[in-house]
Amino acid sequence: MESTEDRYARTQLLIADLRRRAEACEDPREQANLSRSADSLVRLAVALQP
Amino acid sequence: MITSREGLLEQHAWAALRISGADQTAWSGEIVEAGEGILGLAHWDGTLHLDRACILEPLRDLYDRGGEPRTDAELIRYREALVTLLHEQSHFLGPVGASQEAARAAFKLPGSRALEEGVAELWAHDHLNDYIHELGIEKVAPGITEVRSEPSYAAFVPAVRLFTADLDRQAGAPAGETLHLLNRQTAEGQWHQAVARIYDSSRLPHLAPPDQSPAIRLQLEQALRSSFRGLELYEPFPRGFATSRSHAAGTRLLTSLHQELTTAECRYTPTPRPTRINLNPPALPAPPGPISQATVPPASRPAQVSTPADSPHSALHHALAGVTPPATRPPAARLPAAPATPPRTIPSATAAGTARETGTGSR
Repeated sequence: MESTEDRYARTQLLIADLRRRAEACEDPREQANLSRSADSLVRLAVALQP
Repeated sequence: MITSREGLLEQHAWAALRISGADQTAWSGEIVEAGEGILGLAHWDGTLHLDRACILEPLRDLYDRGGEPRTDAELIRYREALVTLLHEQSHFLGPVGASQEAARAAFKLPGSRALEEGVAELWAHDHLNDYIHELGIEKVAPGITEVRSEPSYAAFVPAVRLFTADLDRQAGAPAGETLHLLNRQTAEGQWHQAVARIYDSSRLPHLAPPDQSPAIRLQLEQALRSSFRGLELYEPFPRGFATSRSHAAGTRLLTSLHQELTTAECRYTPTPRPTRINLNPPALPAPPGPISQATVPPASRPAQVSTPADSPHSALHHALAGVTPPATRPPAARLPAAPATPPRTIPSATAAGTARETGTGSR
């Protein structure tokens, strides 16, 4: 079972990955899709904080 | 009439509440200009975070140039800002008594994020024109309801659309009702509501003992949560790929759901017992003329059909109800010899055949 700390760290890595992908996109719709997924993970990361 | 961005931001949450039919919003009334690449975020503390370039500036431009003709690209930009606003507000919606603390705890559970984001995005897109109408934006940006923008959350939206549409069909509900109901819930209540709708639309409430219902629902919920959690894998991929994978996953999860329901329904369906006919040899020669069943003494009623009252074999039971007792048979000399063996127990189908063969059922 993954600990909350590990899950938080993994979520932060996913956010960073999605942000990098979004920045590399030329298509604004692709960029929005990735950015909003990252936003959702930010919401999860905040929820995971003690 | 709203004439400025500030007026819009003041009214936008109440318009979301009105068109959703939700009981309450957890929005604190505070809007924060977002940083760190965030486009829109409904924070657990009730604040709404919005990006300047993609949300706040288009909304200012919307009113600064109120009533002027716009290009399609400009109208789409406004729509995208408005749909993000509506999406984030839908995260704050909930039933009476819902708390952000409970929603926050539930959001961490497997499959919660995929369902909540998919529902919020799909519902916001499906109801964007209602929102625009509610806020009177058509007058400010003529033609805004004529253009279309594409949903984000490509990994979640197609699966949520399939899932909620299937729940509508199974419940015999109008299209979009499940989505609408789920959108009024926080993460705390969304899966509970979805599973309740699935369960209540099946035959399980009539078949399963009431004390088994929580365990069945839990099993369904865990399977669905696991499937929805799997959608997260597609988030980093291009929209087209994520959309097709989400659609395929949605189809698979519905197949599994229906199999699970069928299995559960079979598990609780009573197994019909075979119909039994106890044939006793006639004790006495037949009296002349027909006599009624009621006048035959119990000892000389050889054919007794026993069938579960509500079993699928009840039709056969009724068909055999008119079988004439052997006491009314023609004289023994015209019949085969009575069996010397003890009363036999035979399956129903054979019994019916035997009844016909011996001529007892054809008079």
